[in-house]
Order: sequence, then C-alpha cells, then structure tokens
Amino acid sequence: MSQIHFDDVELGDEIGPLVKEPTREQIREYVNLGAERMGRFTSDEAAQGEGLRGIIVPGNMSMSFLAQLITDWAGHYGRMTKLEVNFRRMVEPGDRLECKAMVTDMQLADDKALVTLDAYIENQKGERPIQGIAEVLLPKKRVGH
Amino acid sequence: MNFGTAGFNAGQHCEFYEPMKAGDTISATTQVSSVYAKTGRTGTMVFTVRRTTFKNQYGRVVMMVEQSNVLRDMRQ
Repeated sequence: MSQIHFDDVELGDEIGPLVKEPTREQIREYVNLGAERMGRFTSDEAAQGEGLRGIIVPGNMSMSFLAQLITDWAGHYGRMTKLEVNFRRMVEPGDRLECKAMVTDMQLADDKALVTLDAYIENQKGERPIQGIAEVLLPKKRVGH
Repeated sequence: MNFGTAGFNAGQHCEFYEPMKAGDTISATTQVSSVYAKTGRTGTMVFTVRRTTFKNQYGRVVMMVEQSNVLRDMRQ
C-alpha cells in the first residue's frame, strides 16, 4: 500500500467513501467482543422496550468505521492522534453508511505535520448520524529525494 | 434530577498519545467530569460526561477517552 505524505495533501481534499452496511450478525459479533452487552444491540424486543424501532448499531461500532477510513488513509507511517464524534441519530442494521472525511486544516509545528479532518457518516437518507473531527500526523517527504 | 429510562451514547472524544503495544500493561481510571441537564423540544435530557485516562506500565498516559451519555425518558 502506498504511503500518503503531508506534502501530498491539500486543503479540501476528500477522503473516502468507505461504504459499510452493518448486519445483525456483525453487530452480534461486535457486541460479543466488547463490553457493550446491552439488549438494544441484540434483541428487537429489548430495543422496543426502550422506545426504539428495533436493534441499533452500537455508537462505538460506527465510530470504528470512521477510524478505519482515517487510519487506512494515514497509512503505516501516519498516526491518528484524535477522533472526536457526536452521535446525532440512531444507526440501524441494513443502513447504507458512507464514511467520508475532508481536510480542513494543515499545520507544521515542532517538526510535526498535522492534518485536521472533518469526518462524518452519511446514511442512505442523506442524514449524518455521526459527525466529528480527527487529527492525523503524517510523514513528510525527505528533501532531495 | 430525573435520569430517565434509557441512556444513549451522545459523543466520544478520543486522544491517542502513544501507541499501545502487545505485552503492555494498561490501567484505566475513570472520573465523572460533569453532569448537567438540558431541556429541548422532546423534554429534559440529562448528560453525564466520563473521562477515562489510560496509562501504560511506565506510568505514561497513552490514551484519553471522554464519553458523553444522554439519559432521557423514552416514555414521553
């Protein structure tokens, strides 16, 4: 996989989309791996008891889709140093999610090359259930190479 | 304060300071950093914010997570 460098990036660059369509089985596997063993993620009945239409995708699972988009883009020598999101709407199994980001700021300081991104997930209705920002340290190209 | 009938993840803020490596021993400490209420069109919501700091075996902070939960009465 090719490595992106700070020098390759420009303000307004778009990243993605990474498309995800989480299934009930994937949600169950995710929940079983972690500590979020709440009924609303695995049982329609439990979810409906909380006023929901049916089971929902855990927020952290959706957030991890954005993390995948950004860390894949940053490559082996890049490093995501911050990811901050707001959960605005429920995500349900079967939703078609497009994970996207855009470069909004670039800073060179103390030999660090920092890129700031607006990052969000858009569903099939054009809504953005998850929106946030991320910061990524990228390598610089060496002078003379 | 009425904490409602259901809590949902409202937001998460993660900062990654140092890589965690296989074999590291990571310890986590969580602090409730704030609790506040907001009233909107759908009624009153209570927000709780928990800040968790992760340290490695050398005492260095490797990660910080601030999680905001919203609690609301879904019977309304």
